[in-house]
Amino acid sequence: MNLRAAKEWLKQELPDLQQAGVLDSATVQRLRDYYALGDVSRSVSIGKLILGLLGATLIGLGVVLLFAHNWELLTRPQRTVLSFLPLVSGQALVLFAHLKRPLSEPWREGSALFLLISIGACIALISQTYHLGGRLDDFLFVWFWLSLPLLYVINSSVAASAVVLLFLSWAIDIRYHNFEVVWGWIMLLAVQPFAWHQFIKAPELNRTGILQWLTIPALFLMVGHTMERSESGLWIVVYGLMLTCMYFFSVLSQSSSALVRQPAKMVSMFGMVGLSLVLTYGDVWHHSYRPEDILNSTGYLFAVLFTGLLITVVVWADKRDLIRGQHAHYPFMLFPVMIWLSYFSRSYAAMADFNTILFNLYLFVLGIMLIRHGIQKAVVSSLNYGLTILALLIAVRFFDSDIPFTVKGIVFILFGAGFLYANFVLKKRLNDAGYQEGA
Amino acid sequence: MLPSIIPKSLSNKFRLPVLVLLFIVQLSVPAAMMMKYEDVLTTGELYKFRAAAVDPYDPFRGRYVTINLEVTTVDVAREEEFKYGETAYALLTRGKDGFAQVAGLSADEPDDGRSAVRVTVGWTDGVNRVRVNFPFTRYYMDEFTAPHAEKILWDRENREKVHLEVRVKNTVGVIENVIVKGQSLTKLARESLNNAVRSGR
Repeated sequence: MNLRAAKEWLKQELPDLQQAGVLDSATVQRLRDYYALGDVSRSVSIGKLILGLLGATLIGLGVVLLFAHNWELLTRPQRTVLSFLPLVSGQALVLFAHLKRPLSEPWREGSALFLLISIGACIALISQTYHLGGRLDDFLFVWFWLSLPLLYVINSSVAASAVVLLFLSWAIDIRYHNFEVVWGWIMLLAVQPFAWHQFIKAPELNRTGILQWLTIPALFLMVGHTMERSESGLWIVVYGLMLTCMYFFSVLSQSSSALVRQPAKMVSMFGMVGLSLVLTYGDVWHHSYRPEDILNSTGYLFAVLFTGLLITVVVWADKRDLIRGQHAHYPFMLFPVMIWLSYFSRSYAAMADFNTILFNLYLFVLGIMLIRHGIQKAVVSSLNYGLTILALLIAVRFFDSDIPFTVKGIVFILFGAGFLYANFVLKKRLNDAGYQEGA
Repeated sequence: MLPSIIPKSLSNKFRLPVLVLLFIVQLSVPAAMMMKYEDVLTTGELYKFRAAAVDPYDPFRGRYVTINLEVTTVDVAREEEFKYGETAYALLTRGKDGFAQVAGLSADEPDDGRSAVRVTVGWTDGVNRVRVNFPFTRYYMDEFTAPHAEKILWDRENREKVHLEVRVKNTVGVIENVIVKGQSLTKLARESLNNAVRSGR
């Protein structure tokens, strides 16, 4: 029986067990908590929340669309009153929720979301009335700042995700314009106290996961924007370090949630493999990288910053006994070292081929180790992760045009033979230990 | 577990006043925008700009007619003063034909009472000629009349005879009207729509 079926069975069995007097209600609750079975009241409240949010969003967007029709028959004063109508009603709803329904999550989150949408509607309508051309990023900027305090004042995590979404749209649109990058950082940082708070207080909520899933791309986007002007190999170092930082951060958080609810872990695990795969290509290293003027480079600033952050996080995690002896973390410890090493070897010693081989080897060994770990400890996820890495590496090298066919062919055959031999050894060992094949 | 950096959530005693304060700010920012543009429309100086137009769509603000002004470049003494994407001030005068002309470009807001409008600097071409982008690029219309407005504007007969009436005050410009052959575009488009409805198309 797999875990999910077992849980389903247990969930159905619990009420009967309680009724028969086998378990008391406290034990039932503890079992529910332990196996994260959830209970009926919780799913009802989630259902109410989702319905409330959908209602608020649809009504808010409907209001936007109605106004966008642009009713020509209305005079300017009438339009003015109309522009403020949704905003004022949104505020009234938030106030009502705060005073009369302080404990209702659907009320709080739904009214906050409606108010947030109506802020945008109000500004858009004024732009329409006065025919303001204006840029999208200016519009989003004002919208962002007028909505931001909602997170802190009424503690709305849905508003937080919406605000980060506004930030993401702003950060994507701003690419095409002249802008002060520092504003992006201020905006992103302004959301962080709330995001952190949410992450600590309610890591198991979907909303927390969504907020993180939005914040991580925002962070990468801002780092990218800030470094855009430096045409060096430092992006490798900076992104590599960011991914590693994220990984050890998730180690530190000791979350037991599903991987999907731990975006930092998921992004870093897949991001590290993805970046390594990119770095196995000779082309990446053959561009002319030059040592930079350290004092004038934002790339170096980030690299140093993230190195410092990484060391802090790793030392912190080690103090809590989360690092030493945990083999799963070792590839992530090695990764930043390799990143720095290869950057310097390329910049100062022009060793492009060395780096290519280094990252090929890294992925190969990592894949093998994961598969080995998966087989020995019967961890399917580890086995799959390792197989995926190897499969990707093989595919990438098979199509790599930089290596002559003859060399590729021989290497592939040698490794293939190696795998068959490993298979043979494993089978022999299992037989010796008394396992029956095909059981 | 990691420690939280917000030790306690905002205490309830302060929450309500802060919320009310936030509401006032949320209301006053759009209100201030509105009052600024209303003031320009009621007390600003009238300028007419020659123009041409097309008709796209904005999900938030509805249908509008894009307006391209005829005047798009300004001759300056030293183009190094102006950088792409930055704000500058186009000094306005009226020509013999009554239409607006740009007499010059200033990097700073003129304080000698000359009429000017805030623009963004576009590309410079190396011969001290700067391309400027005026803020009046859109004229929002009713979604049903907008396609008719577009048709009117694309009519070969009318194309040379479109101009904007813009009110300017304190370097802010607001479009008051789009005029085609002496008549308001809104009125012409409305008539065209009514004719189409009457003839059953």
